[in-house]
Amino acid sequence: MALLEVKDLHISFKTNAGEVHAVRGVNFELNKGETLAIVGESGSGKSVATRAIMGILASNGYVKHGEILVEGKDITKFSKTELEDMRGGEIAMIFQDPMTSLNPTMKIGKQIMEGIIKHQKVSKEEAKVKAIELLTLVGITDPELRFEQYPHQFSGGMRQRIVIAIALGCNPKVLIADEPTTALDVTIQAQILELMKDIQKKTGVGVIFITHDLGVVANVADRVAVMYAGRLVEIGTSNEVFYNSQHPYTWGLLASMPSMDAEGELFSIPGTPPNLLFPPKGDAFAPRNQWALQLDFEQQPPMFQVSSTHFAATWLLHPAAPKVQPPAIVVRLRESFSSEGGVLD
Amino acid sequence: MRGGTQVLKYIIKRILIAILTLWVIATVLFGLLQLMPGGICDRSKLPAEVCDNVEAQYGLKDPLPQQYARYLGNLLQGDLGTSLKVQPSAPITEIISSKIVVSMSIGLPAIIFGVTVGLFAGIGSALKRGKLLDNGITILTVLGISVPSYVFATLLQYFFAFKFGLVPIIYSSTNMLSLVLPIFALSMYAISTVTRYMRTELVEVLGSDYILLAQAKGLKHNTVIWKHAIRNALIPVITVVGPLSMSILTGSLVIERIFGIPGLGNVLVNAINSSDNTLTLSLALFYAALNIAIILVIDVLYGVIDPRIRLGGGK
Repeated sequence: MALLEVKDLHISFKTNAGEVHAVRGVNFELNKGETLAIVGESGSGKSVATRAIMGILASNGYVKHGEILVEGKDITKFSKTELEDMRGGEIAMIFQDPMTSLNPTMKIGKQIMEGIIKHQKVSKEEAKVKAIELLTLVGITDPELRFEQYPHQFSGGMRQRIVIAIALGCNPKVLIADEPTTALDVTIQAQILELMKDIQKKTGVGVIFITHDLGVVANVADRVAVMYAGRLVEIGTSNEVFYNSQHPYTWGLLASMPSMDAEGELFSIPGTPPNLLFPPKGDAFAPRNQWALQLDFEQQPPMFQVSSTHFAATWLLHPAAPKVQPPAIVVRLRESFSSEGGVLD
Repeated sequence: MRGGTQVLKYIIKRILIAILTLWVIATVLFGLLQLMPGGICDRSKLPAEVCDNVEAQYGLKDPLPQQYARYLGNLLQGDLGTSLKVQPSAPITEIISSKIVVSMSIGLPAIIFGVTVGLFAGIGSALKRGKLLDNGITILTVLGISVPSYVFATLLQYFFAFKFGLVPIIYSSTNMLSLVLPIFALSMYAISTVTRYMRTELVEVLGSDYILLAQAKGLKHNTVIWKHAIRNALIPVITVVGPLSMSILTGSLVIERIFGIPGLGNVLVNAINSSDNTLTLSLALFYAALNIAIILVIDVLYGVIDPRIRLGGGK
């Protein structure tokens, strides 16, 4: 059984203008010890989907349809108290901005201890010992002294390490990292990514890694899910999504990645995402897609199977669809992979 | 304890700054007295010898630095001099100390009552944002801020004293019940202001990332609110409590008139009307000292609540 299984998840927000369909039918699963990256631009629904998994949607948001199974139990049917016990203990979360995600008026030691006491059911003294162990684990030197300090006495990278320690203190089975490196500078980013990989190796926790940075994805993820306008458009192993991508949106993302040997102006996908107050009938990406077929505008493409682990939602994969030439970067990636002896189905 | 000494250092620093501020104000007030037209003696009506005698008696013939030094020396001993016209020859310190008791007996309860009620109303309003309770509280606070205290006081007098006869209409030093209406009337503005601030701040804090993280830890709703949210929401609210307390203590002037309370506000009005300059300036100095004391308390409270202020630095 998968650790976490999301089935046909629909999430909407009630606003004054009407219902915003933020997530429109998402399916994925996460296994023990695995890292799944969810990639997509701002507003694609990736954060909303994971907040629903945590049960911390904003008050005007609700799960309209679908199931979120944590070890087989559907948490969308949980009561408030059941949710409180599940949060942290089953699934813990790391947020984007470490400068704002710690309580400024509480000692960091206490902030770590809270989760430990709640989920590991230990006394205060034991919790303190464990908290100091965690501080050491996340690479904070002089943990006994640091335990007594307040968030403003730490740098951004240090604070993110503390947030990770807080999450780990709850002994979660799944760790959701919502763009954990976006607010950090590049050298610190690399350190935090290393730390997360290291922790996953030691604890076997399943990680959902939300990001809009494909460079980060290549570094950490076993599998990648690409989200656009509230739906998954492509999902597969990292290799499959990088080197054999099928959806034009994924192509756009790959082409707009800055690289050392690219020449000329950096590519950007034309247009803007659709207004999810009025979700489009067909493929939401069609208006921005130079390869869009007439059918893309009229009918939502199903998930076509590319391999046993690789799926993409584009009519281009239909047997009757015309064969198109993907952008040069995608062709180059495919070639570089096969020339290095990689095998894709 | 390391934290303890840091708090002490912070408080001592604040007290030193307060003393310095008070000295500057005293000096400015001394200068103002010199700038005032005329003297304590009206030479157009009294013989010159009489005025010379009076001025010599008060040391006004001495060079300015000497007068200034004597003034500061007297201040340090708590001597503000005597009133000239309101209660001729009565020591000003005695006037103030006898009247401040009366003013405080309505001012302090009004502050405590106003801030307490305001905090809880604000918390309730923020937690039930957009619901009936929130809307009700919002309407009441808008009324409380926009209706002047004398209108409110008169209404209270009309209904609770005149119509229902529950409490006396006018202050009486022997009847504690007569304090109820003035305290209510004074605290109205404080309740409304504190409620508005507390609601706004708490709503903002509840939307912050660290509250999300506290929830993500699986903490109970009440723990998240009381341990994580309230304390942080209080920091900006404390800022308004200072000026608010000051405006209650000085603003009692109007309320004192309406309820016939023989407080400090009345003395100030009389002193200004009868150009009793020494009394007016002494009262100004007293109010300044009161203000500084309140700010000092607020600063210390700040430090207690917010480690970023207590420990210095921080971003």
